[in-house]
Amino acid sequence: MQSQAKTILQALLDSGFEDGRVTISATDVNELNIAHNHVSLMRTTQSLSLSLMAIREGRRVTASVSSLDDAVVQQVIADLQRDVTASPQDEAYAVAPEQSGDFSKGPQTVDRDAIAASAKGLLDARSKLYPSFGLEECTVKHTLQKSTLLTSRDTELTSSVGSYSVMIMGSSKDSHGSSSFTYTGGDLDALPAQLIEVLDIDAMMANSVQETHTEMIAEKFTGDVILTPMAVMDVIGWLMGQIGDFALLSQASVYQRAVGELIAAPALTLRNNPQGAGQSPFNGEGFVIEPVTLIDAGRLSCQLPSYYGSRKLKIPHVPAGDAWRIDAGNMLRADMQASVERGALVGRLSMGNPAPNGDFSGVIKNSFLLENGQRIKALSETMITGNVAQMLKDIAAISQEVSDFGGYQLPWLKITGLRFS
Amino acid sequence: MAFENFTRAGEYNEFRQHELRKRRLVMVDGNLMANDSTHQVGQSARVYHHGYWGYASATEPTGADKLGNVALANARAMQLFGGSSLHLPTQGHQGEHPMACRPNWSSEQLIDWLKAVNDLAHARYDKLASVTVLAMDEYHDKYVQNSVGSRVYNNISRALAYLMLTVKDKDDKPVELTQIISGKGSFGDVDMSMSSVEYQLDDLYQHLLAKREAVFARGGLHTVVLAPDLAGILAHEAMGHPCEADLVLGGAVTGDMRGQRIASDLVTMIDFAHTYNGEELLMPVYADDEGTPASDVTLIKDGILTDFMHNRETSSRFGDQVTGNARAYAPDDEPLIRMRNTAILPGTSNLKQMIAGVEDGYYLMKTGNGQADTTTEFMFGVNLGYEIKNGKLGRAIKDTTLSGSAIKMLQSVDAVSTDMCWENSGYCGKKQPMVVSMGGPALRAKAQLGGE
Repeated sequence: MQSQAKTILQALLDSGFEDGRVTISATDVNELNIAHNHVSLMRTTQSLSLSLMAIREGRRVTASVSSLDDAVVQQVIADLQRDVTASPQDEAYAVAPEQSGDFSKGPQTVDRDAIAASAKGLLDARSKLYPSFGLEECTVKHTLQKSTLLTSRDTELTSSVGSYSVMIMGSSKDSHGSSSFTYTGGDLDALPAQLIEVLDIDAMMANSVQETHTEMIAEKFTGDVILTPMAVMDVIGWLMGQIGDFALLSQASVYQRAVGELIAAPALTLRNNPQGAGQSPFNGEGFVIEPVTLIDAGRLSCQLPSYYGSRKLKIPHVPAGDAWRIDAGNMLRADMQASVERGALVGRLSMGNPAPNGDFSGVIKNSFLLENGQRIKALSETMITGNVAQMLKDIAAISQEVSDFGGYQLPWLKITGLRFS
Repeated sequence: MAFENFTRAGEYNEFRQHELRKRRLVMVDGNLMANDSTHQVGQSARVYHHGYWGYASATEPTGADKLGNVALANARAMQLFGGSSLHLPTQGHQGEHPMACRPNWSSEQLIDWLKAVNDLAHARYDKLASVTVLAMDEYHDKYVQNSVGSRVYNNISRALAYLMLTVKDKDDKPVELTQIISGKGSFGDVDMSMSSVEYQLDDLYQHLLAKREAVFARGGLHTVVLAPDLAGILAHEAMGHPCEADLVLGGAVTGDMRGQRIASDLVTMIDFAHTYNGEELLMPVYADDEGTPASDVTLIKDGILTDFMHNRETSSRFGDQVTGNARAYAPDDEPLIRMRNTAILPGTSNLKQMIAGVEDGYYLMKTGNGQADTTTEFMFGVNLGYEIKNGKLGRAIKDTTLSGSAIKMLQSVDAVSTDMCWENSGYCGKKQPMVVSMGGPALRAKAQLGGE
């Protein structure tokens, strides 16, 4: 694979490009699917990808194909030569310089017996412990991705990353009615003896079976939310959008000039998690992921533009990857719930994309009304309104317990001042 | 690609050759952030045997028989779970269904267009803080063969552009709106003329200036008039997904409601296969990726829940006719039950009169993303809306979310306009993405809005 990449990079440069990047990836997937509480489908897929980025006279173009056949490679290089001419010149276009490494992580071979045993264990546990919960859709799979990335500026990276991953989506149905659908999932280095014990699967099912009888709130009020880890992911997703290329280049980020400032409660520390299961050691641009503390005790330490974005905006480039973890807090989940006078335990936020300034309103799903520290009832047709940037500042407590989803490792967050309707 | 020699394997099997070509160009304030093309080619086989499906795919040309054997081995490997086989429907389809496209635009033409739109917006609108222009197209070519005699070639293509304008409000916070231009076929089939763009941007900018001064919607239950642009996403999210037979099997409340009134008698909703009123729709499916001839599915007829959308397996489980809703997005994806062209049919009311009939409510015009639920409790984001006071439009409202029980909302519909607006710009998300189209008229109903 590496020699093919070198040959293709040389062909790219020989065709007149001054700089280039070549990525070849071969991915093998073995995936077992469960539908409606029954094993339904076994998939094996083999895919090949060749991705090219090329720069000539300050103009950039990218393309990818699913073949390394000589004729296909020649054609895609010819297409790049044709398409690059129209690209505007921009001195910020560049390829990753002087990165190197040969990485191997995670399970390098699939254990199909372990996949089958995990699925069987999960189905048995569901029918024994939560018979009214229906596994509408579930996948248990092993992925092995071998990649080589070369650039014309002496970057040479190879990796072989294996992981198991699980995704579960389902809902509960009994004489009261149906619950909202709920889901969880993540990546694992090895499949455990009992799948239900990881990725918050047990908690998801335990909550879902209590959500078939729901009620609306009686009146509007302002209160607290406890976001479960899956809901915390939505908040992190919004933050990443704000400190990435689109928001920064269009000068539309609420954190445009916020590096060094307090943007969250001092209790919050957010780090990347490149060692998490299934995480690639380098990013698609060709930079090795380094440890990053993005928010340090509430203070934003950097932004996360691409290499292009960083050169364009003349701000530091920090290759951080896509996996994040929040440091554990100092409050037990039970105490956190007991401290809520009026509010909700929120399992999932169903909403449109927050406005660029962070304003949002969303339906809270898989959620329970909290009053005087007690879980009162499951909720339906209940919305919360607030501002995501303000929510980060209004974090009142972080749980000691942290859920591990492989890439993401997240606690529960208590946030004050949300409007319920 | 072409049809291949094909050998039967298992109780039922199919073989698909699939080519997917896409382009994506993005310009932010004159900076070309993406100038990308992807081209995926793959073959896949799927086998049904003794109650289980096996699937295999490869990007390298592997052949129907070899992939079929791997898929059969995968189906056999699951026999340890026990179970029993279903008798799958035997309808097949033979036909070739290319989409007639005009010559596409080259990347050079597209970049010139992006620059022209960027320059126009920056020159024309004095309060503009930023403009993002995105152009995307995609082409799906599929050859499907199966053991019940289907030999089908399908092509689906679409082109679309997003024009996003951003201004700053009085607190220097960004406020944005997006106009989407989309259609089937290539960019050569879509009206990309600068006169059309100018007209649409002028309208968008006026709304954006109104949105700079926007107020929060009042949270709670309100009378809302949904513009025709929004009825399609209501159809898709609120009752489309809960009428997919796999979601019904998964516990959707619709499973026990066929034959019951779930909407006002003004509401009829259909998932069209390929044609409406004699015209080919934006996502025409003549035969699905299981080689099944595609037929229209009436989901709601005059307010009564009627039928579900099926693949071969669910039609057998329900004892219903197979409908041709099994679709796969990428070359290595297996077919899932997906919508095609889902719409609420037009009625007899006039949009202006529908607004005039509201004493206190909201007129909702543009949406972002949406989400369905097994409970039929849906939501979608609203990016542009106005208050209605005493029958007249008032102040713009900030971004909000519309939600509620689809059944309660559809039962509250008291007016349906004569308009019919189709669009195909988004992706539907399930296990895989999917290109779909949706359509509808303006509707007046009661629903929950997020807000103060």
